Amino acid sequence: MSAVVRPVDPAQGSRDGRSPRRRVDLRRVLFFAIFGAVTFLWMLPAIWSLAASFRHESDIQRDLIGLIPLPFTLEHYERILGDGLVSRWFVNSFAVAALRTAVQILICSLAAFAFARIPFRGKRPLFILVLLGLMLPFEAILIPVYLLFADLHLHNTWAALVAPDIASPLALFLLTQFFQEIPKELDEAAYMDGASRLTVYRRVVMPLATPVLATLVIFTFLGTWNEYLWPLVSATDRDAMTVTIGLRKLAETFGHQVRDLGLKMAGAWVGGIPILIFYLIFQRRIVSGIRLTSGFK
Amino acid sequence: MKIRRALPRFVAAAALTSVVAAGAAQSVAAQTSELDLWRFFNECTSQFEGVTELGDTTDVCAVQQILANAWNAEHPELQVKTTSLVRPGIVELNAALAAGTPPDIMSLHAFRIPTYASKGALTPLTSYLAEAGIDVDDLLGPVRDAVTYNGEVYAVPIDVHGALWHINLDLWEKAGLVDESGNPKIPVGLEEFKAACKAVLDATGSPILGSGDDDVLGTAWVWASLLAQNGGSPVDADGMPNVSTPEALAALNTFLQLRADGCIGSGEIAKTYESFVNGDVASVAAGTWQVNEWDKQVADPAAALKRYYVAPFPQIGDQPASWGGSHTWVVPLGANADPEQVKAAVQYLKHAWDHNLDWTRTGHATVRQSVADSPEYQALPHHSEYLGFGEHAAYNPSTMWSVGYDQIMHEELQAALLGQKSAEQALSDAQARLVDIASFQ
Repeated sequence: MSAVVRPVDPAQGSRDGRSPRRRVDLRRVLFFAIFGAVTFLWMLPAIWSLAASFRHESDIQRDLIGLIPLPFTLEHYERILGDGLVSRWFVNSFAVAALRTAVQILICSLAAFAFARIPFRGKRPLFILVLLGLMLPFEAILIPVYLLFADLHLHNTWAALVAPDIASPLALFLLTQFFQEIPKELDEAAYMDGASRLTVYRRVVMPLATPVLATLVIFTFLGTWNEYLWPLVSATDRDAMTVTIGLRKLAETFGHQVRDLGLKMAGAWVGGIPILIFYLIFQRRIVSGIRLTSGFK
Repeated sequence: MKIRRALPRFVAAAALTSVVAAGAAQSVAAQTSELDLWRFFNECTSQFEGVTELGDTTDVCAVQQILANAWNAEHPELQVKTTSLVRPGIVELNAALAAGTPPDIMSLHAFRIPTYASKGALTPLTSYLAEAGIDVDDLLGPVRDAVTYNGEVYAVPIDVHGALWHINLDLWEKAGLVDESGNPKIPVGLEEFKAACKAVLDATGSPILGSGDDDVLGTAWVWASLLAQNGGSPVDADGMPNVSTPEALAALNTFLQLRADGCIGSGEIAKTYESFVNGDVASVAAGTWQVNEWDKQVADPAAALKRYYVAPFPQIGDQPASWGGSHTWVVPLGANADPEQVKAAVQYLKHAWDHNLDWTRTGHATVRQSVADSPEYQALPHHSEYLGFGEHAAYNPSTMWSVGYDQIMHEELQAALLGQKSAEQALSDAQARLVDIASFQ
């Protein structure tokens, strides 16, 4: 890769008389051609699904792998966006993702502050206990959690969709680790100025934790938006469904997978576009967040 | 707005758990003025809101929803609230059963009935059905068996769906397999099938039974049909798996030989269907759900499929048989449900029963002999062509271990078809895996 961006002095000629600039350009062309081809291959399923979403179903049945949506139709999008419930599902998804993100950050950052900054008896075993939650798949506790919310009569509400993951072991772990790296001298200086613990949390630690907080906001929001199993069982009323579940049901077809592909693909794009926009806006943060959560520096 | 009120409600509930828990004793399901009906077959409530006439729709969701709308319009005292599930809806049902909040009515595949009935999760319906005027003697034989467990009827079935033989008459004619009246000359038995296969291969270069290795329809269901055609069964007298038998092996060997001869197709089933509508494959194995789709292709001038016929799955063995299954309505209120609540649910089941003909517009076959005999049913597109399919349907085993049956058989048979295992090994492995599951039940 370094050869591609190596600076070349255009004033210097080469032995064979050809311009060195031209040689670099050819390498760049080759570079972009190869990466363009790889990118195209990588994107092919997405391109196919986008094309299928604009094709008539009968055309798809006759040419499954066609990439050019001619004749062009919006019928699948009209079917999906014309359904009065879809806008409600978007509102539900957005509200649930935003609420869970906000509440999770608040609760986990407070808990992480305590684990990172406040000495108390049993802190270490308690922290290990919390981390054990990382090893417990949600599927394993689905039924007990379902029963809990059934007893509280909270199924088919935003509360039921928001609550289960607000105390996230992963978020707590990341925040605790990050808080521990912030110099304690900053706290001590604040305490000497008469600050309370809550003030230190709000004014000292949280502003310095912006990178990890941004990472958590992005991943929690995306994770909640894409969540499937819990909304599937908890939000069964059509008014309470999230867009992931609602579109899955709307575009579900009877029989085997080769039917109504256009509708399915349109559903996938309608559900995925907000996430795509979110990704484009926060692209750099997401990449740095992946580095942060995977331990890369 | 229920949802907007919910968050503060949750906060209050979390603080006063004991108070709320006491309130939880109130059973939502106890209301009989509203029936909670959970169904798969898509979400289309708002699309058909207020529609009570079926018109000419053949869409599975539309038929279900419009029938519910029609009921609600006629029965203000007993409203049906439909909730759509992601097929097959088992995750949702299991959670609701665990919480003690099951729906009044639920759609369920027939082969799952023993799993739930044996645990007391389903309400036995025999007496309720008789009282409501649902004559279970009108059910086709295999269908009645499929909804009966320990002598009790647990469901009102709504269809027989399964594998059919979809034929391009133009290509069959090219192969000399269409008679003077324009009907296909359907081969009966292995020798006739092989002869027809050769004629189709010679004339069109395509298999007479286009299929695929990547779908259960092209693996387990073909094998199940061949097994049933020779009188074999995947279940022994004790209800245990029985898929590694001489009959099972003979069915698989026939399957392998016909594939090797080019009579049964291979590859991807989606590509096979694409070739069929493009007029490149003479006939294919596909489901009842495909009938209306391909009828639409016939109506499309751009399609190469012009003359389309639907026959029961080819009889290659000694007797007609084809893999099949049933969608049913069950009442998951438990073995000791409130009789009044069950009666209310059964009222709606009677409505579905009376409209069985309407459901068969979807391409699926009727479950009722009286409907099968009716001119209205036989006048529906292609239904008269595969009239015998329902009564010869070979269902998946109605056992506790049936849950993993299709997938295991698909994987093992696929390995045999692709040459990764011998036929004996594949069936032996399938038997061992099924016994593993059965031993946990």
